[in-house]
Amino acid sequence: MNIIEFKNIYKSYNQNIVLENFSLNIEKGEFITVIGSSGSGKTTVLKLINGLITPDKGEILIDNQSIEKIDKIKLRRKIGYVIQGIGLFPHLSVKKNINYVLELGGKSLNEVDLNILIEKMGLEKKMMDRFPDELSGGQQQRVGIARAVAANPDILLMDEPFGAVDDITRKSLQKEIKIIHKNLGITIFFITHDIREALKLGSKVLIMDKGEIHQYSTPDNIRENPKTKFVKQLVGII
Amino acid sequence: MIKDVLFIYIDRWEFFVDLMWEHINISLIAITISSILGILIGIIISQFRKVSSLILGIINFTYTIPAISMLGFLIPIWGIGNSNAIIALSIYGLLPMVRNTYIGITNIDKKIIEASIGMGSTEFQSLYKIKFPLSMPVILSGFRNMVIMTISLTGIASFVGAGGLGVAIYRGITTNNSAMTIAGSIAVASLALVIDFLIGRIEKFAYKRKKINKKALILWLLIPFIGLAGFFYFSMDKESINIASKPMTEQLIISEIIGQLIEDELDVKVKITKGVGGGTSNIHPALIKGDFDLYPEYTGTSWEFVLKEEGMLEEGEEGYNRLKDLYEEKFDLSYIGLYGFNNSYGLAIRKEIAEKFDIKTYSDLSKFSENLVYGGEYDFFEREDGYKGLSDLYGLKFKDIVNIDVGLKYDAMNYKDIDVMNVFTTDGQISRGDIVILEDDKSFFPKYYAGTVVRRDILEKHPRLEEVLLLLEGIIDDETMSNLNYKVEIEKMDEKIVAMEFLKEKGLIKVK
Ligand SMILES: Nc1ncnc2c1ncn2[C@@H]1O[C@H](COP(=O)(O)OP(=O)(O)O)[C@@H](O)[C@H]1O
Ligand SMILES: [Mg+2]
Repeated sequence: MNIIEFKNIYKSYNQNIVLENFSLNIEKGEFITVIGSSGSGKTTVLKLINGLITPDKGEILIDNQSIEKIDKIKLRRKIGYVIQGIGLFPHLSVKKNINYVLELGGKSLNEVDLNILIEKMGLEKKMMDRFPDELSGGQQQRVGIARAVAANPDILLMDEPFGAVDDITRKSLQKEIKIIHKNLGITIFFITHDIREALKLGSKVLIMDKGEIHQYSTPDNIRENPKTKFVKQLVGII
Repeated sequence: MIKDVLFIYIDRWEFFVDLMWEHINISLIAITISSILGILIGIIISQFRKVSSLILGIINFTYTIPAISMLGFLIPIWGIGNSNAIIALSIYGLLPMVRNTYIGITNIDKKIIEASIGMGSTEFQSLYKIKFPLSMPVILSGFRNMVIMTISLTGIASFVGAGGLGVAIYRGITTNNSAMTIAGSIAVASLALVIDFLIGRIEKFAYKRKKINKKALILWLLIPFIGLAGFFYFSMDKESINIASKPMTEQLIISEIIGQLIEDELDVKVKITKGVGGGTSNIHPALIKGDFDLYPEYTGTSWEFVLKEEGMLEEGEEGYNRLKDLYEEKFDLSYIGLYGFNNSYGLAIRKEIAEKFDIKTYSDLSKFSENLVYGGEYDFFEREDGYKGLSDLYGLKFKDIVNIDVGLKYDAMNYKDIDVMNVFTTDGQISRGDIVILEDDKSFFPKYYAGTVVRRDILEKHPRLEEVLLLLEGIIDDETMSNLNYKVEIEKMDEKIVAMEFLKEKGLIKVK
């Protein structure tokens, strides 16, 4: 069953055409990793999913329902969002950051759920009352993920989330996100610029260049049958 | 000088405490309005960027209007007094608030705002949970500037008859009491510094850990309430009789005399607004509007400046009655009683010379003028109805004519640098006794007899008021007035005490 469908989407900024007749189906529960040259439209595609960007033409379906007909506020609260460059709220404590989405709807995590989440994300309880700038980059990234999944979303959008952390931290974060995916049965749309990461994490990999899909397939299939020159080059880097 | 200032604080600490309290109240109301309105406008233009340059342009423009002019512009709309000052100050305070709110909000990292929207915040949630708190440090620094500016500017609000420490400054200027002016200025500056320090502390306290401290928030919320309380405090005074006076020593004293007499005779509260800037041009409209109920005015001023009549007002009963009738007809105001003195131009001569040559009138003077030196301020020589007309009419030809500053005239006379000069007939320094005022025997100078101008509805509301005001008729001649002026200007006595002593001496109020 498709949870997200792009049907013949067109999107341009001023004169700059980014997406032209772009179509894509994402099945429920997939871990989609997205990779491509910079400026190829990855972030644009991601923001189309939570309605931060609206297409010029074409239709987007979420759970088989046209996104135009869905209340954006409600939709976004069911879509976790890990922004490129972390984007924690600097004036809120870690705990407040994690609870942000729930508090928008007047709720908050109970202690038990919070502790489970903390545990799962490799955070510590004593960090809860600290502020983002008192944490290391890796810890901040964990908080960013905890914040995105705290409201139990159906979809998790992640825009180059591990771009700015060291190799060791990245490895453990990768492990953790895999576990989260498995445990929650969530659909993840994960942009990365690291082909190894894309192939390692994704149940399906989306390879884009200049607004076009070059290949959309399982990691194995991409390794074995790279469809275009661009894909070959990418995989060849390994 | 420092000693004088200290003495003023000690002598009149109650006066200063009252002014300080009033100063704080006026500033606080203005600060509250500027803050709330400024933040609101700032938020609105940060959401609707298209109008932001327009609104900021308008606000920037109003900021280039000098504060004094701003206060003046608002007189026709808001009249004289605290409300005018508060409005002007509030408009002034808008710019730093609007600008800093706008800058604070628009300079927040776009990613953070996008994150908040992307997670499902409504525009409003994003505003109050993210944008507003994050821009708070910038808004606070604007707030701090605005507060200091408002407190300082409140110092000139007495120009339009508002209270506050400016009253002391202005009083000092009009009564030539520089210690008073300095005392007032120091008080304003100290108040500003103390408040600046306090806000600095609150800022530190609130941003100890970036998040807004709940306690500090409560403090913030308290400010509007204090402001509102102050507002009610001011609006309570509506039932009193409001007396205005122009910024001249004489008027300060007369208004005190009237005020104390009314309070003594009638059971009613009196509020005196002393030294309204612009004098008649601001008080007269305010009287018609009802901001003031009565004030001392001069017949000549009413005739030439208010009624804009051609020619001189006839002397005596007849002329006065015409003036009275015109005032009732045109403005529904009553002229009640003349105190007796005439504050107009006059010529003064050194007593020594007057006695030696037996000079009593301007005509007598013309016979000896060739041997005498005349001193006058630049202004007097420039005017058609000044020196030129005067010397033509009486045939005056002085040995020498000296341009001299108003403030130095009496000293020049003392040192015998000049023998004759033009003065105002009730100047305090005349009372020193070494000069004599001559008689204008051909009536060259128009007469400026002082009397009380009152709203007619006030006379109806207080049936005995007219009778009380008439008690002052004819009891203050030129000499008495210049004596009273002397006490305030030269001896630096408080005009309240001078007025009270005068009333006691005349048996108009009981000796306590
Ligand atoms: N808000 C915007 N206004 C104008 N151009 C934009 C905007 N956002 C993205 N673009 C342009 O659209 C193209 C695709 O951007 P993006 O989707 O961010 O690419 P990617 O995430 O793959 O690097 C780029 O050329 C970028 O410059
Ligand atoms: Mg991107």
